[in-house]
Amino acid sequence: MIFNMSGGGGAALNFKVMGGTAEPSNPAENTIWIDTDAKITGWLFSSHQPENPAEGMVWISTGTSSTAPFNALKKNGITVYPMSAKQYINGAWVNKTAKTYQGGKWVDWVVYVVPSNTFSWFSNNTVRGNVTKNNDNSVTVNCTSTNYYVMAFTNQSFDLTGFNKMIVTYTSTSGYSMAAIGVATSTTGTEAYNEYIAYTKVNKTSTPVTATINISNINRPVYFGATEFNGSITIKEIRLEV
Amino acid sequence: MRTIYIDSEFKCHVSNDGTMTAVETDAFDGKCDAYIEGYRFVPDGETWTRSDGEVFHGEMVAPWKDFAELDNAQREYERQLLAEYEAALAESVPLSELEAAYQKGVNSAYD
Repeated sequence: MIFNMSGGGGAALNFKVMGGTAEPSNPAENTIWIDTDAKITGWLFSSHQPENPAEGMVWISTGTSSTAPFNALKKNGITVYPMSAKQYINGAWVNKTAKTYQGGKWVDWVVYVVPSNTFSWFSNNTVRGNVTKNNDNSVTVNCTSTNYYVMAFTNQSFDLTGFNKMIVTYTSTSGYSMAAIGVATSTTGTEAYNEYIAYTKVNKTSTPVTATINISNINRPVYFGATEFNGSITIKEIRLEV
Repeated sequence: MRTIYIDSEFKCHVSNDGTMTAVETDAFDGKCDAYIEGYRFVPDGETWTRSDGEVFHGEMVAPWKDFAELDNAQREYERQLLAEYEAALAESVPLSELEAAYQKGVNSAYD
């Protein structure tokens, strides 16, 4: 467990933790950026959730694999495998997107498609339905046309190389036969399953359901999509993990 | 909608060797055999465990082969379909000839 209250790095450490709403400019190798507008009061690397955290503390969960492993020390070695980041804000742990600057580029850890300020959504047929971003940053795909499917996609594509699973949490008022959440190579699909290159079927549920999609063999940019029929899907979370 | 077959690992096949389960799905409409057979279809209510221990619940459909390979196969399939279509079009009777023959027939009715 590596514990630091300063929010930055240290003389013997081979990395630095920085917060902000934009990637730091001119970062050093192994700069860890936490996408947050809340002040980072300290950080902790641990496989277990910290007890009694202070407001603003960042917990970086660690495991045995990561898209951005690094040696934590300037001398000798402790290899750290960061997996995800959370920050303690107003009495609760909040998921945060995090990246590490390595080899001249930013490397994503866990990526949140929902909730996110990076990804926005659109309905590719506004006659059939619409997409709204809710106050809690969930996304609702609403089919407003009777007996037609509506498909919604992210405006932005994302390269899935290096990520092995896509975890989605949703509720749905209909769960009709082709309702689904998945990934596609384009945003021109009209309704069918065959528009996705990987998907999980959406079932009717008022209680949030979590499903996982195997994306380990998709190493290219994709758009995230959702299909609904005669109802609405509310996507609480889509995250990508190693 | 078409029928595909899944084996004990939920890998898709276009023909049944006698041990597989038939599945009716839209997921592969318009897709060639090589594309389909690079996929895994986990039906609703079933569970597949990846070699690293990660568990996936159906219905979940995802490639088990590198998608780039499947995409290349599908593009080649579509290029072939297009070539066949264009060849058929080239062999067909031009519209102008059809119109001329039709008009000739119309005119002969008044002879």
